Formats: sequence, structure tokens, C-alpha cells
Amino acid sequence: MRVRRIVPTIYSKNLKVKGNISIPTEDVSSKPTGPNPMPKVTDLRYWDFKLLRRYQPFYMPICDMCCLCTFGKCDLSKGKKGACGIDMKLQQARLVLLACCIGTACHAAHCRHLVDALIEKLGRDYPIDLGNSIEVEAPIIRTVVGIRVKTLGDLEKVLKYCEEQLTHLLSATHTGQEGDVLDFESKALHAGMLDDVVREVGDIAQIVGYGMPKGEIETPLVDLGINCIDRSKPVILCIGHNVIPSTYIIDYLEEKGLEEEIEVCGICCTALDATRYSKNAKIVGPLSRQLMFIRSGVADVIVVDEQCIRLDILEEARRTGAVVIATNDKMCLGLEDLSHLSEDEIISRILREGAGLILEESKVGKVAVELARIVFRSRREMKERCLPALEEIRALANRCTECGWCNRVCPNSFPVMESIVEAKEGRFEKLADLYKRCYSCGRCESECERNLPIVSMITKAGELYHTLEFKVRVGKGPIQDVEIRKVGAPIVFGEIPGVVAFAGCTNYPNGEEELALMAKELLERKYIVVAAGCASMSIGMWKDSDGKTLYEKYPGEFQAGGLINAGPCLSNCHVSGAAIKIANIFAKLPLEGNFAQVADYILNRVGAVGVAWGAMSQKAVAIATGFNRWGIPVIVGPHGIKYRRLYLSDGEDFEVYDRKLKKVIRIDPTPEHLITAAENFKECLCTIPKLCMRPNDGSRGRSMKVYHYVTLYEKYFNCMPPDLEKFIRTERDIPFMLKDKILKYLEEKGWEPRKEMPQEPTLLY
Amino acid sequence: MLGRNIPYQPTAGTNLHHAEVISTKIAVSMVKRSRRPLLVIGEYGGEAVRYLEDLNIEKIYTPRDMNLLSIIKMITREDYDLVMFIGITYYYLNQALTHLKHFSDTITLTLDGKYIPNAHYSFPNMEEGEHIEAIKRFRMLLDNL
Ligand code: SF4
Ligand code: SF4
Ligand code: SF4
Repeated sequence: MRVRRIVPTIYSKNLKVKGNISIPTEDVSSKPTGPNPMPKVTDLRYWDFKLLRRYQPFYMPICDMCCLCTFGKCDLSKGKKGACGIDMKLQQARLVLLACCIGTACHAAHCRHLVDALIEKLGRDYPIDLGNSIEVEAPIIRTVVGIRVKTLGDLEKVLKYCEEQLTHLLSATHTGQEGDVLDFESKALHAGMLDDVVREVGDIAQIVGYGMPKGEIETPLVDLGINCIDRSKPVILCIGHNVIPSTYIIDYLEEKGLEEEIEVCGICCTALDATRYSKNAKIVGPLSRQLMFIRSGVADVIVVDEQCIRLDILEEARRTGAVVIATNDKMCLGLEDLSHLSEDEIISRILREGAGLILEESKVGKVAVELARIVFRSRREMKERCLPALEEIRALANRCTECGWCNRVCPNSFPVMESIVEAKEGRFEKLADLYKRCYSCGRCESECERNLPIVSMITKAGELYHTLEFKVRVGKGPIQDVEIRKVGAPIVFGEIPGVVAFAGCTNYPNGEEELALMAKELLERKYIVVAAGCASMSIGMWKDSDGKTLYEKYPGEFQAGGLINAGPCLSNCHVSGAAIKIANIFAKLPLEGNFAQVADYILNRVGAVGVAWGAMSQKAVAIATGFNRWGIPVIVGPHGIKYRRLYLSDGEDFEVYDRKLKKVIRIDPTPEHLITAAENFKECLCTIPKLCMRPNDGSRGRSMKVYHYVTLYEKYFNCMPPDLEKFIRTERDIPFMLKDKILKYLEEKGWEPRKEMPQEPTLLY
Repeated sequence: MLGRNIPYQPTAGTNLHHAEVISTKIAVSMVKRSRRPLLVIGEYGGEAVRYLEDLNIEKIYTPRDMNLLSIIKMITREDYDLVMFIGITYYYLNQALTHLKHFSDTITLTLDGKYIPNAHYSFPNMEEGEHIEAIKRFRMLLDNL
């Protein structure tokens, strides 16, 4: 085996290292060694500007106007300026920053809530112990904040820093503040980075505080899917992202020995976290299944916490006879806070009024469970009748005027009307097919001139025609240091073709299955696939011909061909965390205060890419922007361009400084973009291997990446990738199996091998 | 039923400036006057696309030949004066077009049977059969030039 020398440049007063180095991580001082511990808004601007010059912001305004202050509305189209002097590009950059601030604030507040609650329960000195397999306990916090967190109290300090920074960032969006596009973008990148930090804070807090998996390699498989929920029992449904109320429910059930009698299930990240907390919890599915499942009437009690919950939840629940418990100060729904009452009093109030707010979460356990038992008795008969029977669907369908507006308002232009028209004749296959692709947003039925309950009709057909019983692996949390040690070298030299992180929500153009099919294709090709949030559930919602989900077929280890569910949205931090750990454990780069060095390392060497195929929320744009600042490219789906901004290079050669050659050289444009979009599943899949390429790939690694790029393109587009020549640096990059074909292609393109290959590429010069 | 110049997805507009609806005849004369036209063809154009495939105009098939956003970025660098689009996911194209609408002088024309507000010029909403006829006519008139 060829031995490569790793020659990182280390930003430290005390260390000047060149050549093969081995610095045990324990020796690294816990004092910040890098230049930027706790970076302020402008401290990493130098790094951002380097990224943004290469990957220029590409704007797609969603509105011609600005309406953010009363000078307006201002028309910013056709080069016009607003009354404050802002122009269209600047306004887009400002809105992206605003979206990132909203997303980051959402995670920050969620994590603040978790940390405060756990400190109250366990004390400020409660140790952060992630077990023997994890020494680099919080790679993001170490790098950004420059400290090593040892107790829950330390996490508070980290949050304080982030909250302060976030205030500055949000203030920059005020009228008459920041006046430069790149500065706005640098601030958005700062917000994205903070988002990564707070997610790491929150996930670590809940892992240690609630005994969730600490990076175990094979976490258990749990039930996923609407039909996994036992309708013959009282059912408590938890929706949202904050696990605290669910923990009280699970504790109460265990305390009373009611686990067998009552079903606890969840939708969205709360569900993922509940299964990390207890093996008795079940997952209904991701966000896309929210309205469908509520409509199905299976739930007796619906407990909502925070984020991505349907705002008409009270109205929807009332229609099914379920009761609602709101539990979070971010979502009070106009309900009276009943916390001051005893649990029994709260139960009778909610029974009378159908809903209540309980901010004192410790009371939610008993209230939810006892309510479920009572409500279940009264609505047992009703449960089966919440959705229309097939005959009723047919009768409803016959009221349709075939106006076609449902198709037009469907965000994906699905053939809703055609499915309804078929149902008029008693054929329900099209409705059932729609079930798999529809994300139950309900826009079609709000438009319907006949008020047809289209979502309920789709749901019924789907539940009857599909099995809807799947499996997902419990969220593992951080990647263990030993896993990183094993894969560090093959990733950095490109011999593992890439790490692909599926993140984000369920705003898919064509249903969940496509995500699973992408993952399958990559797993077969020995990519490392990591998923978090709704994406991790979606990947489980498809079965192969052998009746198994991907989680049952592929190992849960961070290795070539491994499929990892990291956990909820918060757990996306373990993706950037893994990339940082590669820099630290494998290349011995010190982390503390060393953001730009670490990000530069990742950008040039770690072939990781994020895929946010259904990104919808402001949190998702913050997550993606956080990945970007670390040098991890992201692909969004076709709806993702409504975030208004991508970071695209012009696809020509890049310039880097080569520390070994001691000069600026031109290199292949890898990774080509920092955030881009794909129109459909095929395009996304073919873009992944390209964005996994890095300047530092060895020839063997690059040839493997080229192999996947070419063979995927041939499989899905029936031709060679039209820009292949850009990514073949010398003949040694050509995979042996495809040599003749590629050489012929290169000849037609007039390709010439590069004279220089980067040895130690860096943007920091 | 279709409301010929209401965006096919009614929320696709951007408030002030929406595409002008044009007929096949005007579309043909635009192509005729164009110094350097480009036709971008997506995967979802159905039968209509068949009538455009051997047209003697520079063509790019997306996403196969190039990502749509890369095409749009490239258009701002090159000197095309007319770019036509057909067969691309409705909301995706409509959103991507805002880049050209605001940050370039290139004229954009969409040939789908759905009104796309963020182009400069668009065909109106049409039923499928009507659209195919329109494209056939477009083709025929171009051939007769
Ligand atoms: S913030 Fe500026 S552009 Fe927006 S409405 Fe006010 S003056 Fe007009
Ligand atoms: S509920 Fe489904 S079919 Fe209806 S508009 Fe939303 S995505 Fe389309
Ligand atoms: S909107 Fe309602 S009435 Fe119109 S086609 Fe759709 S289902 Fe029928």
C-alpha cells in the first residue's frame, strides 16, 4: 500500500509541524489553539469571502417587492431601489439571512429549553459522558467555541455565546443596516454555523440527560408506519421536535406498568427521539404523514410540542374527537395554561374543552395517559369511522365538477382530479398511488369548490392498498472515534466514494420512496449514508423485493456501505461532527478555535455531501448553510430553490494555494458547487458522486468517484456525463473498467492531462 | 376553465411583472428576429417536444446535458438574445427564471401549455391537445421562414 504523508498546517503558536506527524489528541491543550475561539459576526468573514468568491451567490427572487417596513412596499424589479436604498440582490441576501436566523433561533430556543430542563432535573454539574468510544465529545463546540464541555453547565455557556451572536445577526436584517451582498451572506453562514453549534448542544444534552444511544454501532430497529399503530388500544400521538413531554408520558406508562395497554407514537423528530428514549415508542412517520394520520382518527390524545406542527391542529383534532395537549411556550394556540391545576383537574378541563395548554411538562405524563384511557372508551366506535369508507369516497367523488383546480394548487401538480374522477367509477388505485407521493399539505381540499375531503379520501385508499409497516434504526447520535479512525484515510484519499448525508423535511417532488431509492443505489456502491430528521424516516419507508427495509439490509456502522440514522434534525450535527473528527483524529488538526483551518481541510479533503431533497423549513436552510460554512456541499430538491439563493461556481478551474509547491495553482473545479439544486431524482443521484470529489483525491480514489459518476449517468441518462473531462486530471484518474470508453470521450473533447496536481491545496493564503 | 393568463399554479407570480401572453405567430417572429436563440428542453414536455427536436436551433436538454441553474448562469455570461424553455417542472422553471428576469437582459419565452409568469413571454394555459397543435403550428411557421 502506498503511504501518503499528511501535512496539515496547524494554526498554533506552539506547534510547527511538517511531515508525518502524530500528536495524540489528549495532548492537545484544551486552551484554544486557533485564532478564532467564539468567533464574532465578522471574525470568520475572511473565510466566508474565500468561499463566496468561488461559489458566488445565485439569486432567484420570489417577489418583485419588499414589504418589510412602512416606507414600502417598494418595487425592486428591473434595477430599481427601495426607499432605503436596497436593491434586489441585497434584499434576497437579507431574506436568506432572515430565514437562517429564524431556523437557528428555533433550534437555539429548543436546545435552551432542553438544557434548562435537564439542569433543573439533574443539576448544572451533571457530567457529559458519552462513553469510552467517544473522546472528541463535541467536535463542533470544540472548534467554534474553543472549549471542551464537561458538564451540562458548560453547555449553558455555549448557548449564551450563540444567543448573543444570533441577536447581532438578526439586527443586521433591520432596515438600513448591512449594505453588501457578501456581508449578508457571510452573516447567513455565521447563522448556519451557530445552528450547528446549538444542535450539537441540544443533542448532547438529551443524549446524556435522557440516556439516549451514545454512538452505539447497531442500535435496535423500531416500528415505523401508520399501520404499525395498534388501533385497538388507546393511542397517544406526539407531534413536533421537543422530546420532553414524551419522556414524561413514557415514564408514567412505565411507572404504572401500562406499556402494553397504551400505544405511544409520534410524528416528526419527537418520534425519533421518543424511540431513542424508550423501545416502547413507535414512529408513525415524517411530517408528510401528519394530516393523514390525524384524519385517520387513530389518535385519542394528541400532544404537540414545537416546530412543524399543523396550525389547524385544534380544528382537525376536534373533527375526530381526539383531545389536544399543547406543551410549549412557542405554541400556545390561544389555550389557557392549566399548569397551576392538579392533574385530575386538568384532565376534566381538557375533557370538557377538548384541548389545554400545560407548560409544566411534568404533568403531561399522567394527564395524557389518563386522558387517553378515558377518551378511547368514548370514541372506540368512532375510530374506524373517521375516514370515509370506499363507498362514501365514491359518492363524494361523484360530486366533483372536474374543475381541475386541485391539480393547479397542488405544489407538485399531482393528478388529483384524475384520481377523483377514477374513484367516481369505484377505481381507487390512482388515489392509492397518490397516497405515496402526496405530503398531505391539504392545499387541494382548501381550494375544492365542492369541499371534498381530498386528503381523507387519499388516506383511506392508501391505508387499504398499502401495507405501511416499516422499520427504522434508532438514532445513534455521534459517530464513534473508532469508526472515524477506520474510515478517515479511505475517505480523505477518496477510496470510499463519499459520505452522503440525507437531511431535511419532506417537501419531496415525488414522495418518500425516491429518497430510499437514492440511498439504496448509494449503499450498493459502498457510499457511507447518514440520515437525520424526516429524511431518516423516509428512507425506511420503502421495502425491497425481499420485504426488507434498507435499515434491515445494511449495517448501522459508519463504514463503506453503512446506513446510519443519526437521529432527529438536531442530529445533523453529527454529520459535520464526523467530518471535523476526520480532520482531528485522522489528520491531527487541533480543533479549538480553529474553524477556518478545519473547514478548509473538509472542503479540500473530505468527500461529504448533504442532500436536503425535501428541504422546506427555515431550520433546513440554516442546517444547509451550516454545512456550507464547513465546506460541505449540499443538493436541494426542486422546491429548495424557493429559498431564493444557491452558491454556484462557474464550473471553470479553481485556484488554490499549494502549501507544498508554495504557489498558487489551478485545479479541477471540485467540489463544483456549495449549494445547488436538482430537478428530479435522477439528476440528484448523478450529482452526488460529482460533489463528493475533492482536490485532494488520490488517483485511485478519484477513479472510483469517476466510475460512479459515469455509471450512474449511463444508467439514468444513457450517456456519458457531459462535463466529465473537467474531473479527470490525468489518465490515472480513469477507472480501469471504463478506460476505452472514457479515453474516446476525452479525445473527442480535446482533453489534455493537467500538468500539475495539488499536493496540499488550501484556500487560506 | 384554465384562465389563460392566470399562472397555472396560481401562486407562481411575483406580484408586479408577469409574462406577456403571446401567440404562436408572435413567438415565431421573435425567433425569426433573434440573432442567437437557444432552446432548453426538459424531460416532461411529452409529445409536443417531438416537433421541436430537429429544429435548427441550438438546443440543450436538461438535466441530461446541463443542470437548469447552470444553464441559467451560463446564459448570463453568453450572448444569447432569446432563450426558449419547454418541458421543465413548472414551479422549478418558474422560480429559476426569476434570475434571468431580474439580473439579465436576455429575453425568455416559455413554450409549455401552461402560463409561466416569470418568463418575459409565455404561451397561455392550454389543454393538452390545443398545446400540441400550437407547437405544430410554431414548427410549421418556422419551417416556412
Ligand atoms: S426595507 Fe427598504 S425596500 Fe423594504 S419596504 Fe422598507 S424601504 Fe422599502
Ligand atoms: S394534499 Fe397532496 S395532493 Fe393535495 S395539494 Fe397537497 S400534496 Fe397535492
Ligand atoms: S377541486 Fe374539487 S371539484 Fe374541482 S376537480 Fe378537484 S376535486 Fe373536483
